[in-house]
Amino acid sequence: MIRLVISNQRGGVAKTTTAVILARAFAERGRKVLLIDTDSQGSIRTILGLKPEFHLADFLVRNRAFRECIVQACPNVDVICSNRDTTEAEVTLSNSPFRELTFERLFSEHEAAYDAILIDVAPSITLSQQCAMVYAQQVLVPVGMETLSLQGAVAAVNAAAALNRFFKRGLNVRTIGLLPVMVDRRLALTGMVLDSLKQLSGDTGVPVLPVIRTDSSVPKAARVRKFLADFDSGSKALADYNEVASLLLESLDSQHARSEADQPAQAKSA
Amino acid sequence: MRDPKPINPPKPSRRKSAAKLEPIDWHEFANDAVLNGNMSTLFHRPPSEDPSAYASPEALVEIEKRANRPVVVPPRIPPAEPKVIPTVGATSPVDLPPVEATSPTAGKGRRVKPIRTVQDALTLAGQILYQAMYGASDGTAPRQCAKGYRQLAAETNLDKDTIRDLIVDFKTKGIVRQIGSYNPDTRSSKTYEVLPSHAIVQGWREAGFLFVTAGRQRPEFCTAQGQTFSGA
Repeated sequence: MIRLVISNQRGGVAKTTTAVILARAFAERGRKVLLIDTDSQGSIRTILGLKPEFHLADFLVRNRAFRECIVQACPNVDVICSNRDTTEAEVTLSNSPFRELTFERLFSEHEAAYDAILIDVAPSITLSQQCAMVYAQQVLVPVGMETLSLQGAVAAVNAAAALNRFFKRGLNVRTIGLLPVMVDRRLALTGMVLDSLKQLSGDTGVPVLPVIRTDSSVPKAARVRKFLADFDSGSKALADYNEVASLLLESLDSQHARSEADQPAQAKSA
Repeated sequence: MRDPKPINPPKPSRRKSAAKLEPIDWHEFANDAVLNGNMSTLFHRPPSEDPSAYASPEALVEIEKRANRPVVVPPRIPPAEPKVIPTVGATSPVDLPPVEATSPTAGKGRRVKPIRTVQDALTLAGQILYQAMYGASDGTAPRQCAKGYRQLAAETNLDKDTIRDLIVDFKTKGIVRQIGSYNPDTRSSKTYEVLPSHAIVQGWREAGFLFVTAGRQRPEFCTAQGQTFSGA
C-alpha cells in the first residue's frame, strides 16, 4: 500500500496536476488508486470534469458512506472530490479530540481496496493537510521554478518535521522527494532554483527527483477536462511524469517490502 | 553638412542592463515565520482532549504555555490618513499640525518641548533603534520587524540588554506591538509591528501626550507645566 501526500505551501506549483497525472500513471501500471482532494477549491473536480453527488466533507463529518462519496475518473482511479464544505468540515473537526488522526481513523478501513492513495492538499497548512500527513506519512513536494515555490517547499519539509516532533512516538512523516516541475532550462531562474534544490537535498537528505519539463499540453488538458494521457499521449511532461511514477513505485514498493519484512521480525523479538 | 540621423537607432541591450541575480540559498526560507508559523495550530488543543496521550514532552510544554496564556489585546493606534503637505511655506514641514505652545516651555524647573515627531520622545539610542526597526522613514503604513536582538544590536551598535529595555519602552509607548512570538519548533523569531512616526504621534496626541521633558535626561511625557505622567 502506497500512501502519498502531494504538498507545497505555495499555490500554483502543479500540486493538483502532479496528483492527477501520477494517479493515472499508477493506474496504468496496474495499481488501484484512490485520489483524495482536500483542497476546498475543488481543483481535481474541475480539471477532470467530475460531478460527484457527495464530497469529502460529507464523508468526514456528515456520516455519508465511503462508496457514496467516491467517483470513478477512469479505470482503476477513484476520486473523492472536495468543495467549499471542506473548510466547514475542518472547523467542525478542529474541536474534536485527536483531530490529526481523523484520516487515519476514517480511511484505514477502506484502504484495503486500493494499492495507492494519493492526497492532494491545499497550499496552506490546514487541518486536513495535517491529517493527510499523519495518515500517509510520505510527502512529495512539487517545486515550481521560482523563489516562492522554493519557499513553500522548505515550509512543507519543515511542516513534516514539526509533526514528527509534536507526536510522542510512532510518527515518521518523511519527505520522499522534491519534484522540480514546469522546468524551462532557457530561463536563468530555473538553474538557480535547481541549484538551490540540490543544496536543500544535500542538507536535508531529501532526494531531488527527475525534472518535469514545462509543457503547454498540461493546461490544455485541464481546459478540456481530460487526463493528460488521454489528451496528448506524446506530451513531454507526460513522459517525465511516467518516469517519475515508475521511480516512485519502485522506491515505495521496496520500502514497503522492507517494512513488511521488519514487522514479523519485530513481532518475533517482542 | 550635418550627419544624417540614423533611421533605426540601436536599442540599448536588455541583457547588459539586467541586474545579475544572486544565487538562492534555501536557508533564507528555513525560518520564515509567515509560512512555518502555520504549524502553531497544532498546539491549540480542544479542552476535551488529553494531549499527554500522544504529544511529545516538548509539545506538551508548548500546549500548556498557550493554554494558560491570557489573551492580551494591545491597544491599537489607528494610523492617520496620509495627507499631502507642502514642505515649504507657512505650514508645518511635517504632516501633523503644529502644537500650539499654549504655555511656556519652562515650568517647575524642568524644560519641556512639544512632540513633533516620534524622535522627540526617544533617547538617542531609542531613535537609532526605531530607525533600525522601521527602516527608511518615508513610510505611511506599519511595517513588520522580525529582527532578533542580536541583529538589532549589530545594526545599531547597542548592546542586547539595551535593545531589550528599549523594546519594552517602545511597547509601553505604543511604538511597536508584538504580532508574532518566538516559535521553538520553527525557530521563527519574534515579530513586531512598527508604526510609522506620524501614526505614533497622532496616537500620543489623542491620548493627551503633547509634551516631553527636554534636556539631557531621558525624555518623558509631561504636561505643559513639566509635570511627568506616572506610568506613561
